[in-house]
Amino acid sequence: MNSPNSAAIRLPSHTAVAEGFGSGQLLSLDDAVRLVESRRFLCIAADERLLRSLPAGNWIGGTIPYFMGQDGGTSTQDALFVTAFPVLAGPPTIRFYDATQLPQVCADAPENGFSLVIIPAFSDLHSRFAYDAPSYADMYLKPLVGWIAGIHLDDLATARPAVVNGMTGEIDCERAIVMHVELPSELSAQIDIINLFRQGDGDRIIFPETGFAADRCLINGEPGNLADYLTGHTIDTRLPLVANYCGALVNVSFKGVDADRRRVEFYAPVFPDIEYRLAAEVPNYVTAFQAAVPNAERTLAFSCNCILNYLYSELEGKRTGHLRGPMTFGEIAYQLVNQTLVYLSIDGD
Amino acid sequence: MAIEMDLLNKLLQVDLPCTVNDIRIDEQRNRVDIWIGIKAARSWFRGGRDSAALEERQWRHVNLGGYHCYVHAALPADIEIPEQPWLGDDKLGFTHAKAKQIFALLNEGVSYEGICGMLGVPFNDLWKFKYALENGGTKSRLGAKSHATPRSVREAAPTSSASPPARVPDATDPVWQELVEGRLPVDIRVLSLQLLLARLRTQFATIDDSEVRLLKLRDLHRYMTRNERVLDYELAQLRRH
Repeated sequence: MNSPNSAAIRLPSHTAVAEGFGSGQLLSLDDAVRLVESRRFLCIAADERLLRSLPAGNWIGGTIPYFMGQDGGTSTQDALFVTAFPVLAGPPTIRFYDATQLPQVCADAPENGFSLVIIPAFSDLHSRFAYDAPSYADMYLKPLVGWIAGIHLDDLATARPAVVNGMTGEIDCERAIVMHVELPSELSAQIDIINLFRQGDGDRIIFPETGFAADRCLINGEPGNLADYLTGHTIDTRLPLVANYCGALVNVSFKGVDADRRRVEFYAPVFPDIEYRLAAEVPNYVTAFQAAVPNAERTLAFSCNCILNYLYSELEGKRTGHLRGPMTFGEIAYQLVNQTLVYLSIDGD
Repeated sequence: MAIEMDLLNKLLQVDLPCTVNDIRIDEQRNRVDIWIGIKAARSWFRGGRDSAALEERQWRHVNLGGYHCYVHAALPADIEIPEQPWLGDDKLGFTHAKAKQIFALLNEGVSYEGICGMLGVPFNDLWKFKYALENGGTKSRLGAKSHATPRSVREAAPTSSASPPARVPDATDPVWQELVEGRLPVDIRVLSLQLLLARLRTQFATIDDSEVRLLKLRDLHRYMTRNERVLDYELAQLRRH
C-alpha cells in the first residue's frame, strides 16, 4: 500500500463538477468548501479529517481514502471526491437511517428518482443490510445505489469508518446516511454494474444457509467443507465466488480462510440455494475494464468501485475509462456486491 | 359483566371452547388488550396450578373502533382449537383476521405507506409480515379462497378498472408465471429485473400458498409497469411469446 500522497493529483475547478450530473472528481478542500457553499446537493468521499472540515450544507459523506480520480487510481487523505446532483425536480432529502428504519429506505424513495446510501463498514447495519436488503420493501422497484464507507488499511486498528449528514455535521459509525433524489418525469435513473469476473468452469458450490462465513457446503452436489476445498485445491482467493442472478453476475469476495477452524469468511454473505462458482481469472483488469465501460455519451450520475479491485489489480496510477469514484469497502447496486464497479446513469425518454 | 363478555365473544368471533377472560382499554395509548382462554378451564387458567404450562402469545388484531387491538391468548397445547379469526401466526405477529386485511391491501397494490397509515401498523411489523410470507414462513390462509385448488394467474388476478400500459402484458397474462418459473427463455439486460427475477424464483421454490404466489406475480407486474421505459428489450421478447 502506498502512503497517502496528493502531490501528483491534478485538482480541477469546482465549476467543472457543478454543471450537472457526472461521476464526480477529486477536489481540494478549498474547492469542496466552495461547492458546499454554493448549496448544491453533493455526495462527498474523503478522509474523516477533511469531512469534518467542511461547512454544513446539502451533502452526505462517507470516509474512504481510495479513489479512481481524474488522473487514475490514487490513495490520498488530502483530497475529497465530490459528486454533484443537480436539482431537477423537488429538492433532495437527506436523513440518517438506523437498523430499524433502513428496511423502509426504498419505500421512502421518490416515485421517480434514486436514493444514494452510504453505510459504515464493520457496523451492525452493514451486515444487516447485506442479509436483508433483497427483502426490503419496494426493493428493485426504485433505484438504490451507494457504497460502504471504509478507512485507510493502515488504520484498521485505530479508526472506524463513518458517514456524515452534511446538513447537521453529525458523524455516525452505526447509521446509514441517505440522499433521496427526485427526477422529473422525462428522466429515469438506472443502476448498472461492471463485473469483469465470469463464472469459471469449475465446481458448483451451494451453501445451506445465509452467512458472512461458511464451512459446510455442497460441491457438485456432494457434502464438503469449503475451507478444505480451497486449501486442498490451492485456490487463488483473490478471485471471488460468482453467482448468476438471471444474467447478472454477482460476486462474493473472500475475506480469509481459516484452515485450522475449517471456516471461510466473506466480504458479503452467501445465500442458500444459489449456485456459486469460482471466478475465472481476468488476465488484465485495466484492459478488460476499458473494453467494458459504458458509452461515454450516457449521463453518469455516480459510480464507485471496490477496494479489492484497486488492490488486486494494482490500479494505483491507472485509469479505468471515464468512470470515476471512491474505491470502497463494498458497493451497493440495490444489494451489497463485491469486487464490482457500480454506476448510476440518468436517461431521458 | 357476563353479558358484556358474551357480547365481546360475539363481536370478536370467539367460539367455544374459548372465551374472552378480560379486556383492558388504555385511552392514552389508544390501545385495547383482550385476554382469551379456555372457558372450561378458566378457574385454573388464570393463575391456577397448571398455568405455568400455558404460554401466553400476543398478536395484533384488527382495530376496534379507533383502538389498536392486541389479543393475548394462553391456550393449552393438548386441546385442539378450531380456526378462529382472533387466533394468530407467531411468525407474522398478527391475528388471522388482521393478516387477511393486510394481505388484501398488498394484493390491491396499496403502498406500504398507505397500509401503515390505514391500519395503524408500524412499518417494521408490516415488513416482517411480508418477509415471512415471501420466505414460506407461514401456513396462514390469507386469501379468501386460498383453500381452493391453485388457480392460474389469469383466473385469480384482480379486476381493475384502470387499464395497464399497453406494452406491458396484463397482470392476468400467464406470461408472468412462465417467466418466474423459468419457462420463458428471455434474455434480461436490466440489472434490477435480473435481481428481482432471481429472488422471485428462489421464493417460488419455498412458497406453497397459491395466494402468496399470486401476490409475487403481481409484484413483478407492478415492477414491469413502473419500469416500462427501460425495459424495451425485455418487453419485446415477452410480447413475442
